[in-house]
Amino acid sequence: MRRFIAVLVLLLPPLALLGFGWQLTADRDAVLQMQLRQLVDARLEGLDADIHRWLMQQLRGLEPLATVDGPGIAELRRSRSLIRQIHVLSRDGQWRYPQQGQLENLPPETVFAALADEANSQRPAPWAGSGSFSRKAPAAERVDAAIAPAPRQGWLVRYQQQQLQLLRWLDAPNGDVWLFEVSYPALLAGLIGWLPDTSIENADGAAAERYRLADGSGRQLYGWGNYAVAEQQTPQAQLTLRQPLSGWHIDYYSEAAAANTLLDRLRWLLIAAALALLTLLLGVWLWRKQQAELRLAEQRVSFVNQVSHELKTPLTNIRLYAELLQQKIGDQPIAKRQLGVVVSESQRLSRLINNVLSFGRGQRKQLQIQRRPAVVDEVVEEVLANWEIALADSGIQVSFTGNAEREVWVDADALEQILNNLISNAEKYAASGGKLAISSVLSGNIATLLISDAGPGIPMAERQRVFESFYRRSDNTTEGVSGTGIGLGLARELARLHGGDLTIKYDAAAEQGSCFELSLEVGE
Amino acid sequence: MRNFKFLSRSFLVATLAATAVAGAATAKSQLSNKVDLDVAVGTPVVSSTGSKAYVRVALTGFERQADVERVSANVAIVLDKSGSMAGEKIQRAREAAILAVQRLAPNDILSIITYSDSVTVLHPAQRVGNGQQAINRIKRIRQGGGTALFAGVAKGAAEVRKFLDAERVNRVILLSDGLANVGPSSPQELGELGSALGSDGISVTTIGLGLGYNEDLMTQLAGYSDGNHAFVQNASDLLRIFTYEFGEVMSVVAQDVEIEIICANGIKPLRLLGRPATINGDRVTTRISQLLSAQEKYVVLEVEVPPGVDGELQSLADVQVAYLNLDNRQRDSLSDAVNVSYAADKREVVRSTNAGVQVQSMKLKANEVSKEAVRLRDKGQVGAASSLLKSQADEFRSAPLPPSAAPAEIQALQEAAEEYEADAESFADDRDWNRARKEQRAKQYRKDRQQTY
Repeated sequence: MRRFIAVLVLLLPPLALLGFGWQLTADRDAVLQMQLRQLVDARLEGLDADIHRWLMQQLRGLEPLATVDGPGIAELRRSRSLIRQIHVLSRDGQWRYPQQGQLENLPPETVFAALADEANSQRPAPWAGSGSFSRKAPAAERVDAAIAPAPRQGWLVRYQQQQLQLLRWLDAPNGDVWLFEVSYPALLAGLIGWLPDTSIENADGAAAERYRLADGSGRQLYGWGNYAVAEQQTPQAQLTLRQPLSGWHIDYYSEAAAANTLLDRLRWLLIAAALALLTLLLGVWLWRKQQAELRLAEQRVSFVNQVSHELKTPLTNIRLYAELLQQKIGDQPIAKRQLGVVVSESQRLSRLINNVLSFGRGQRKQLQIQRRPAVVDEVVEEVLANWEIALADSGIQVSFTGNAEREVWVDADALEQILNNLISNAEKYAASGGKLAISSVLSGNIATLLISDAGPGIPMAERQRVFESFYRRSDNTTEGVSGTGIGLGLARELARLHGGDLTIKYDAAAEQGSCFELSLEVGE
Repeated sequence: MRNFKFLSRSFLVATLAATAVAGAATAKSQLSNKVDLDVAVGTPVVSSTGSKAYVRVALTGFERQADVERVSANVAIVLDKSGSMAGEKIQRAREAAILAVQRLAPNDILSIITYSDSVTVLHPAQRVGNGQQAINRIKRIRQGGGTALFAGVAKGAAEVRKFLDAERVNRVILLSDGLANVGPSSPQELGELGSALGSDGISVTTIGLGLGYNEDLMTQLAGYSDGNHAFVQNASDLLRIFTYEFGEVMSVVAQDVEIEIICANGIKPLRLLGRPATINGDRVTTRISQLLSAQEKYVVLEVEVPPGVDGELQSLADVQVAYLNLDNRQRDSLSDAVNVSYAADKREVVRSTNAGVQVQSMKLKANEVSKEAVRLRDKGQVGAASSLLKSQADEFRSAPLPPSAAPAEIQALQEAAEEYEADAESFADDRDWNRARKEQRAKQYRKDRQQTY
């Protein structure tokens, strides 16, 4: 429960940060999008106004002639490449020019209806912003009329075979209606010529964009700009052009939409940062916890150390007096045996305390080796003599083959401690084997001792771990055996301080049992 | 030819006198530096039962003196760089464009436009100078994308318009190998664009490269603006075509030629062969964008002559021509008239036939037959198209020529007959029709416009 709350407390700040950041970028995104949209809308509207201005400029000065005469009209038409044909309709509904009446499907009534419609209608409302474009299929017969600022002139817009037909109409003083038919290709070509082209390189720093001028059926008429539009991509903005080109619209695409992805990227960055922070906090928490445990362990070790120190002096006295007593009681078998138990148990306790104290020194990096002249074999024999009774009680037969009889410089106490630990282990775990063989050899300045038993042995997988402090094997062979778990580790540390090592020797021939190899660097 | 004009001579005197007065006031140049107008009728004597007659209006550009500075050019080269141009085509196109730059004089105006889905004004209209900048830009052209042909031409025209000048040869040269697929793409729309550009004094030369382009669209665009058209099957021929085209641009001596033919009372104009024309009542108007040095261009008007009385004279038409003379930089005008006389005896009609005019007229008329054959072939009537061409060949063979006909004219008819027989066969061949159709269109165009290449 406490752990759960701790995790929750740890999680809360980064999560809150994440949520806050997310919201912030989302808001920023929305604002940016809106600003961009307004900018684009304004630009498209400006473009629409410019296109309209351009168109009106093309038609400037276009006026009905004083009289309807063929060559005059032909001349007027020729002088304006934008005008495809000129039609003159009298008020009584007769086509005065050209006589054949080349306007398909345009009865005079339709023209008058459109004109009347114009007279009754208001001026078209000023262009209302945002490009809300609705795609209307141009009806073949649809007739739109709109007013231009000047009175008695306007546009007649219709579709012939899906093609826009623009007729600029003007009232002649005599009551005739003059219809100037704009050539669709000429109009479009002029407009394209006036609109920008697509430069090869993008202007420095400018976001790539693409404008697409399309007619009512969505067919592209002209496009400019460097942004590569993907198929089926929806435009960022759209604007239907004002009359008379209201069948056309402009689509706008741009890379600025990619600012979106930048914000998206920022969001992912935020998530990543929050996760990293979380991991960091967890790490710190775990590290602190470990540190606390370590401190606790140190305190324990130092406590045990102090206690051991306190135990050491009385125990030395017990051992001293018990051994003195042993020499004095002479041949009293029962008392002798009982005293032997006291001596051996006090020796065991002494070894334990030595181990604890050495371990404590090792922890404080104060474990040291002090070499003095000694004979390795003598040290071994002395240790074995101390263990004689205990090993005999466990039913372990000891054999020693000594080949290190030369006096060398060695820390006899350290060697004794190592041997004690190894023999103690054999007594505890390998008593079933019933034997313990020790051999020593001196080769150059290296003394090597092999300590082997015939017990169940140590599984391969654990051969390294047994040297770790406080590691205790747990299986049925170790059931009910007491120990501190520091003996082997300490033995190896001492061996290494002595310029040697303690390893488990792998012996394929031996069916079971363990064989420890102890090597020590010795001086002459 | 001159000996056949005696009939109209007396009428000419009156009309020429009128124009000569006007001409003398403005003429500061020699007479030799005027365009020559020759109006003639193939059959100066017509059957008194009435018949069709062919009025040929021929204009011959004066020879440009070598020491006279040639008229400056204002050219936009519009290059298709769509994906289909990859490989040799774009490579040759670059070479051809570079050649064009090298042929132009420092004072000429040049712009280069490339198009695919989009249009790029690669080199805005400006004086050529040493041409290095233009050449460097041409070398950077890479292919890729769709074919926004309409927009490419529109932009090219816009560049030409920046320096538009009646005294310059204003021309857009379009090179394309594919079907227009972005923007307006029908032959009608492109034709109308050509018409609008033509009336502004910009002609568009269209060069179709390979077998993928739409020859109808390309000939319409060229036709209505009175530019040239060429079919270049192999990209390796591009250099040659560009050489011809620029050679032509540089030998222009007159332009914006307006021709008006006013038919006399009772004479009904049927159709003008060779060029788009407006027929309004008895008035037929057409235009020729440019006349080249020492080169003849002509149109033929088919008219219906009413029945008449043997031996009587019938006035056919008055012809008025106005053009910009690039030598004296003035708008000159010319006029001429043509008559026929009636004869009851058909042999008299044949005997007096103007063989040269008659052959030219027949060839233009046959060209219309060739177009009709293409229309039939398009509708799937392969057999009908073929037999139409064969019967045209027969018509050439059986055409009555007067004894006075020159051997060259007899040979011309012979060759025409053979050509149409060969065409009849190629129309029947299905495998090669795409190529053959492009060739036919280019050939028809060349004949209509007396194109030099």
